[in-house]
Amino acid sequence: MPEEYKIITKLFDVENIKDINVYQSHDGYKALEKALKMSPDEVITSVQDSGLAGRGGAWFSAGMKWSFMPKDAPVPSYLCVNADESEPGTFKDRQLLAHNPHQLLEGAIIASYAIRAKAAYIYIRGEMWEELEMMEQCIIEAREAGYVGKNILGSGFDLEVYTHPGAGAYICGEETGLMQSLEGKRAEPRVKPPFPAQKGIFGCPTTVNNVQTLSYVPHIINQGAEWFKGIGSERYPGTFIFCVSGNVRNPGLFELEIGTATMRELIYDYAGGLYEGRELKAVIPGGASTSPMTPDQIDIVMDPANFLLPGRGEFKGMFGTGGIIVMDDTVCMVDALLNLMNFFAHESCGQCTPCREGCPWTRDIIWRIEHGQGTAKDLETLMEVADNVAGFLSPRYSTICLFGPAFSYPIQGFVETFRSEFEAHIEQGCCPIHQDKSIKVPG
Amino acid sequence: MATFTIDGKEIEIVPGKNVLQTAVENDVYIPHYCYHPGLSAPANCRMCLVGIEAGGRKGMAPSCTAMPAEGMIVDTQNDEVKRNQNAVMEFLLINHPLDCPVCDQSGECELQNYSYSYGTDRSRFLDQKTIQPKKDIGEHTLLYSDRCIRCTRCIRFCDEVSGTSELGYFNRGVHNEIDIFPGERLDNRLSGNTVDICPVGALLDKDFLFKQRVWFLKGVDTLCTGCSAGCNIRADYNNERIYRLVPRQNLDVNEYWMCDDGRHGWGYVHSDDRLLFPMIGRGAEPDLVLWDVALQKVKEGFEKVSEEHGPGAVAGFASSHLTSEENFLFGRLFKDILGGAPIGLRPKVSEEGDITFKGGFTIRGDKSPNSRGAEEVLGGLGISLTSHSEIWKGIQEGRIKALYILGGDPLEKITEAERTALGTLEFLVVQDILANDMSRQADVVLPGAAFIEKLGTFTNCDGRVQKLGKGLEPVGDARPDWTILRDVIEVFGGSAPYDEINDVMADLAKTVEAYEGLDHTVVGEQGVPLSTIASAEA
Repeated sequence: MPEEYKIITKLFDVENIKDINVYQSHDGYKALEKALKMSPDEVITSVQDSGLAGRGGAWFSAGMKWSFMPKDAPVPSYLCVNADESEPGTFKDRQLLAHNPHQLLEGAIIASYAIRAKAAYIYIRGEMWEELEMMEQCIIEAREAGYVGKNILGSGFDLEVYTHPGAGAYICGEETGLMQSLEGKRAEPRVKPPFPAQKGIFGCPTTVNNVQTLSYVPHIINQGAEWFKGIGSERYPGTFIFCVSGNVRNPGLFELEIGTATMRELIYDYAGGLYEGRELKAVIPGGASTSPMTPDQIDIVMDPANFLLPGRGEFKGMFGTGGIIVMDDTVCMVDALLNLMNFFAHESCGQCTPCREGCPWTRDIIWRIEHGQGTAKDLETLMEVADNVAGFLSPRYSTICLFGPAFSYPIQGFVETFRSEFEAHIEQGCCPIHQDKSIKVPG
Repeated sequence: MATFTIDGKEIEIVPGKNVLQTAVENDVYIPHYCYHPGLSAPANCRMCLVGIEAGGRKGMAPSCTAMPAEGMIVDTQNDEVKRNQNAVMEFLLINHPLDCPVCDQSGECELQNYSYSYGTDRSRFLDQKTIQPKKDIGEHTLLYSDRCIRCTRCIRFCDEVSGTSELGYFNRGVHNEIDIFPGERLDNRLSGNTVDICPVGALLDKDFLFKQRVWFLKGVDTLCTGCSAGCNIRADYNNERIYRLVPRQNLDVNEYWMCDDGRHGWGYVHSDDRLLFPMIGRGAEPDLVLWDVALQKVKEGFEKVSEEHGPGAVAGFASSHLTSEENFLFGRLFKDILGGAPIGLRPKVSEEGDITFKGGFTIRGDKSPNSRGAEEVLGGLGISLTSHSEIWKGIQEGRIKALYILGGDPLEKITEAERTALGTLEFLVVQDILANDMSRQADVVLPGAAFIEKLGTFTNCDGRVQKLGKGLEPVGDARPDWTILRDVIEVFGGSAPYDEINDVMADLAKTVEAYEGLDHTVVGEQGVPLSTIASAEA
C-alpha cells in the first residue's frame, strides 16, 4: 500500500489554517509573489508544462485551457471557480474549501493573473453556506494583505474576487449552466460554440476551473513544473483526491499519487474494507455518472489513463471525479440505479427534449422493474432510450450539454454489467435481493 | 465564392445565414421546432440535428446554430440523423396527450406532420404521463400546457419582438412549464403571434377556439386594413365567413408578425349593420332600390345642385380606406365630370401615434390603410386636395350643397357638428360598407365591399404598393367600390371601359407617375415600392 502523497491536503489538519497569518506562516501567498514577477504567459507555460489536468472530471489540460484566453481582448476577461460540487459520491472540493480556503484563493488569483482576468467569481454551492462565509472572510483578509484589489503587490495587476452562492441545482455545476446562473438566469447550459474562452460570463472571455485544479496552482508555481511532472503518472501527473463512500468501514478522502494505488487498495486498505460478512458487489469509480465496476475489475490502477474516458484505457468506463461509491452484496443494483435516476430526473434542467423526457421515462421503467412490474421488453426499451440520448462511451449524444451522457451512461453501464439481476427482477416479478438494504454499522 | 455542401449539393454561403435556413432556401428541408427565423436559436428541441463534417471533426450538430463554413459537409439524411429525428419525436410524444380530435392545431400541427414523416406508429411508453394544466393567460390566449413541447418560441417572442417579457419558464426537468409571471397577463398588443408560432396546439386563440377545423379553411393572401403599415396577411375563410387572419411573411413590411388590433379587426365584415342594398331617401326607412335607380338618382341629384347653385356647390371626400384604383376613379369623376369640384380626405389618426416594439414591429398611428395611396393618386391626377376642415366649413356655411362621401372605415365616427352639417345638405351620397351616422342621413346609399370581397391595391406608409385578395363575394347587392364608381362615371356619360381591376390599374399607371409600370402582376404577392421611390433608390 503506497503512502498517501499530500500536496493540497497537507495543511488540512493545521489549526486555524483559514487565518491568513497561519496560512502565510506555511509559505502561503509565496507563489503569488513569485507568479507576479513572471509574465502571464510564463505562468501559463509553467502550468502547461506541469501537465496539470482539470480535476472536474474532464481531465483537460488546465494550461491549455488558459492559453485559449485572448491576450488583448477589448472587453474584460473573467475567471470562474467552479465550487458547485454536486456529483453524488464526490466531496473533495468542499473539504478543500473548508480546510484550506486560502490555497484555493491564491490559486485563483494566480490563474486570474495568467489569463488576464479583471475579476474572479467563486461560485460556491448554496448548501455550503459555512464555506461560503469562510471564503468571504478569506477574501477580506487577502484584500487587507494586498493580494486582492488594485495594484496587487505593486505589480500593476488589478483583480476583484467575488463569491456567489449557487442556485441549488446540479446543472449549475456545468460550466455554461454555471455562467447562466451567475448572470442571474436559469441554469440552462449554453450551446457551444461559442466556447467560454470566446464568450463566457456577460458575453466576455471566461475560464471556468474546478476547485481542486486551482488548489494545485500555488504548489506548481512554488516548486516548478518539473517537480509536479515528476509526481503521478506520465500522462496525468500529480496527485488526486479519492472520496470513498458507501459500504466501507472508513469512508473518507485520500490524496494519492495518480497511478499508484489500485481500486482494491482504495477499498480494502485506505477505506478499511467492507463490513464483517459482506462481499463486494460493485463499485462506482468516479461519481454517479460513471459506470460501475465488478469485483473482478478492481485490481485496476487508479489512473485516468487506464479508463476509456478520458485516457482511452482498457476499462470500459469513465474515471470521473474520484467519487468512489462502494456497494456490497446487500445492495440491489436495480435499486441503486433507481436511486441515481431519481437524482438525475430531478436535476435535469429540462431545456432540451431528450434529457427532459428521457430522464423521467427511464427512471419510471427502472422503478417498475424494481417494484416487480417490469415487462420482457423493458430492458430493450431502456437501453434504446438511453442510447438515443447518448451512445455508451461514444462521442454521440443528442443533448446540449453532457447531462445527457451523464444519466445515460450509468443506465447502460448498470444494465450491461448486471443484466442478469435486472432480468431476475422481471422474471420473478419482485426484487430478489431480500436482505435489508439499509447501511448498518455492525456492533 | 465560398461554398459548402448539403447532401452532396454545392451551395454558396450566405454570410450570417445558418445551415438550416440555407438548406431550406435550397429545397432541402430540415425539420425543426424551436427554431424560428424571426427569433434567436436556443437549439433546445434537438430535432434539427444534422451530420456536419468540418475542420477534421465529424458529428451531429444543430443546424439552427451551425454556421456554414468553407468546405463544410452537411448530411441531412444519414442514419444517425434519421435515428435522432425518430428519437426526438418519441420523446416529444410520450407526455403529449392524444387529443388531436379536439385540438385546434390539428391539421396544421408540426407534431402531427413530423409524426408522419419522422416518427413511429406506436408508443413504447407504458408509464404515467406528466399532465400539465390548462391556463387562461391573456385577453386573447389560452395555454394548454399539457400539449406544450417547450420549444420556448413564445417566450422568446415576448422577450425579443414585443419586448414585454410576460412569459417565463418555470420549474425544472419534465415539470418545466411555460407560464405568465405572477401578476402579469399575456396582453401585449402582439400576443396573437405567440399562437401562430406555437408549433403545437398549446397556445390557442380564444376567438378561434373550436370554431372551425383548419382543413375546411380556404386561405387568401391579402392585407390587413387596420393601419397604414399594410401588414401582409392571409385571411382564412369558409362558408362565406372569415374565421381568422394570420400574418404572412414579408421581410420588407411586417416580417412574420401582425398586431392583435388587426388580427381581431375583421368582425365588421359579417356585421348585421352591413349595407346590403342601394337605398334612396333619408330617414328611418329609406327605399331599397336597384342599382340603376340609385345611380340615376346620383346623377340627378348632383346635376340639380349644379344647376341651381353652380358647380362650386358640389364637393367630395375621397377615402384612404379604399384602394388606389377606387380613389383614382373618384378623382376622375370629380376632375372630368363634376367640373373640378373640391375633394378632401378625412384623416384617421390615433392619439397613440406610432407604437414601435423592441423587435422593430410598428403599429402605425395613421389608421387608414391607404392614405399614402389616396394622396399619391389624387395628387398624380393634378387634383390639389382641399383640407377636410375647409369642406366641413363650406357645408356649415352653406356654400357646399351636395356631397359625395367615400367611406370604407368600419369604425367610422363623425362629430356631432359634422352630423348636423350633413343634415343641412341638399344632396348627400354615401358609399360605404356599414350603416352609420353618415349613411343614415344620405339621399343615396351605395353599398360597397369589404376588403376580402374585392381586389385592388393599397400603398402603405412607406410607399409600398401591395394588393388585396378576394375570398368572399360581397354581401347582398353590395358591389366592389371600383365597379360602383365606374358605373357612376358612365351614368354621367363619361368613359370608363374597365372590365376588371387591372384595367383601372393600367389607366392609373399611365396617368400617375408614381405608379408607372405597375400592374397587379408586377405588384405580386409581396408588393413593390412606388415607381418614384424605386427609381430614386436606383
